[in-house]
Amino acid sequence: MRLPLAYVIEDDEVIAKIFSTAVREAQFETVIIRDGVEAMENLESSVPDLVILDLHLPGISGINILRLIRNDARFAKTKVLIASADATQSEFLRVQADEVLIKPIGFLKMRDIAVHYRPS
Amino acid sequence: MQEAWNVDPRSEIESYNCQVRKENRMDTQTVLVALIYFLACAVACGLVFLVSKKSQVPGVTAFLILTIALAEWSFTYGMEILSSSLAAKTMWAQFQYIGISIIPVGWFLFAQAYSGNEKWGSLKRIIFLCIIPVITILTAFTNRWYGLIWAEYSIAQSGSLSVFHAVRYGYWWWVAFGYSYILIFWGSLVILLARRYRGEAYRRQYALILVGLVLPWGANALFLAHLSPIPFLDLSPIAFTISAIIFGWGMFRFSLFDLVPISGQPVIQRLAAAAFVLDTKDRIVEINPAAYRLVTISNGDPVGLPVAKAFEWWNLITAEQREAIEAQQDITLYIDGMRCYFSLQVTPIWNSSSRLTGRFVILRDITGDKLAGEAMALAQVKTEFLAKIGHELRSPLTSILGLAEMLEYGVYGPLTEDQQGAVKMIFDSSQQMTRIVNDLLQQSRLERGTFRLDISEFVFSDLLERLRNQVEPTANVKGLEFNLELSPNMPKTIRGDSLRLYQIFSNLVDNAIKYTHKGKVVVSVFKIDDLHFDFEVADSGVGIPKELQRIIFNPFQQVDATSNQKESGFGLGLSIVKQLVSLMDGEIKLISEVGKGSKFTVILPFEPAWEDKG
Repeated sequence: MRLPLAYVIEDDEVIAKIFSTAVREAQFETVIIRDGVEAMENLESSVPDLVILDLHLPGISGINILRLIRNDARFAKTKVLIASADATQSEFLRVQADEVLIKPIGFLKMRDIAVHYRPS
Repeated sequence: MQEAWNVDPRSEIESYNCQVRKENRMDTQTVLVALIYFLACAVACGLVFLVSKKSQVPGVTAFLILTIALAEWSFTYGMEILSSSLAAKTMWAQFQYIGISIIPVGWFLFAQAYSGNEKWGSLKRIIFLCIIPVITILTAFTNRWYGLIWAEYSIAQSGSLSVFHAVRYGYWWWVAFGYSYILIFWGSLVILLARRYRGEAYRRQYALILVGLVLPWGANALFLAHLSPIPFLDLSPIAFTISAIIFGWGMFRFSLFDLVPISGQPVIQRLAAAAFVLDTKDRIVEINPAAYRLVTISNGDPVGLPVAKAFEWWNLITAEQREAIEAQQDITLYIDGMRCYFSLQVTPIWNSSSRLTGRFVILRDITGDKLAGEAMALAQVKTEFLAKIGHELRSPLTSILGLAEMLEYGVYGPLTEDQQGAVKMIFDSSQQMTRIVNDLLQQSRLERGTFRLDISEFVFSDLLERLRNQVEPTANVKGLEFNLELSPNMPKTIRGDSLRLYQIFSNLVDNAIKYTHKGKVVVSVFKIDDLHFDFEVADSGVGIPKELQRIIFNPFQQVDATSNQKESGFGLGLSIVKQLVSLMDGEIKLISEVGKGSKFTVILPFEPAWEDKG
């Protein structure tokens, strides 16, 4: 059986590693993406089931990535979790995202949320 | 020796009487005296010429009329002295009444204009003032028929000098006499009373005006009381001319006419802002107490001085501002080494004939406003700084927290007991730091006003249960008695921001437990009325000293009563609690006594249900 695919779009190396470990713990296949341009390239070739999205990214911002995902029918089933330190900006995107998490986000919390959004 | 030939004007015999006089020969005394009057006339004419050039100054027109009348009087008086027949003398005496009648009016108008009472400059009033003088002139020229000015007159002899002498005055003369004295007296009074200023320049003017006023009065009084040094000779025209010379001298030497007090002075004096009036030559005419603060000359009164001399800083402000007829601009001045900000306003002063007579300058001290603005900008920087710090700390915190959890969870393999203890400490510390960061961010959002409450309906007892579960273990560890009493009068569900309510309650209870070392912590919640409920936390802890109770709710104010026990944190907890309570339209009260304990009371309104359920 193929594992569901999760993107961890996060420019901070350590945080990306923690999140991806937590998500893998929740039985996802994970891909760490470190900048916006790379994220766009990946989204062209594959459709993730879950996206852990940081907002402040080099290249293309998280907001633009979110917009692209929400405007493309290919990603109709994709769940997007915003994981950002910017509470104010995140608040504005609450409607478009499935979940908004404000950093710091613990390992176990991330794992539990990923479990919650696992496609059945 | 003195002789008088009395004549009844109606007898028409005056022409004969004059024959009685010695030959028409002019003696030197007569010529000399006449010359004095002609000289007075010439001086008056000279004054007219000089003063007419100073047409910028209010009161000049009236002064010109006065001086011309004076010249006329002096000239006709001189002519009267020179003429020998009673008929000729009578004719010149009649002509004198043109000047005599005009002088009081001229003087009165000058006094009013000089004192800034422009209402007397209206044509209506001038015509009104001229009624009696015109009648006087008419009665003088028709005296031979009615005798209204001189009922009986003659030639009086004083040495070789013969002068027209009114033996008995006519009825109208008394009217004219009274009227003239009223006008002159009134005018003098106006000038004397208008001089409230005691400035250096004004003092000289004042003295001059006094001398100028006393001379003619004295001369006229002497004449009327028959105490004139030369009997029957009226010295008034000469005295008046000397007055005119004094005024004229004052005009050029002390700029008598230029420093005209502007009306409305009490208003200027009472202004809180610094205010002063400049004349057309940039000299200070009036200055109020607030403006004295800005005077940079050390000695003496700035009144009458050129503005640049009184105010050193006047040269610092730009030429446009200095020369502006009308301007409004903010300027920066250094007063006693202090940087001060002023709002400069220059308003032109026009007289009734639309002539620029000066400028009114107001300097409003806006230093306070400016500093407040700067303080606000600084507060803004602080708020943004808080937000920035908060954000920047969140990422590394995520790493610390995540890694500690991963270690604890065994992602990197099993840990020894010591390792587990260490990881737990890292975890706890990072959680504490998270709370601080969240407080900082919340504080900055509250300060920026971007904080919004998230209102929803929830089961109130659930919230309290959560609170109990969080705090009871800590209280138990410290051996404290913990009671949580929820009154049955509270509704089951309420509307509100449950997250923030929880934050308020847990903050207060956490504090109570933290600062109580023995005894109990009692939490009680009850409904006060249909609109409000009460959340109370009472403890038997260390208590808060009176002087600290006022500042305990201030941000970044950590009050540690025990002081030997250092608590971490920015002291934002209670400040945020208070701000949240305010945001919910509630209030928080504190009763505390050192050594006995504290009681925090939070009174909150029930959030009205705006939407219908369903």
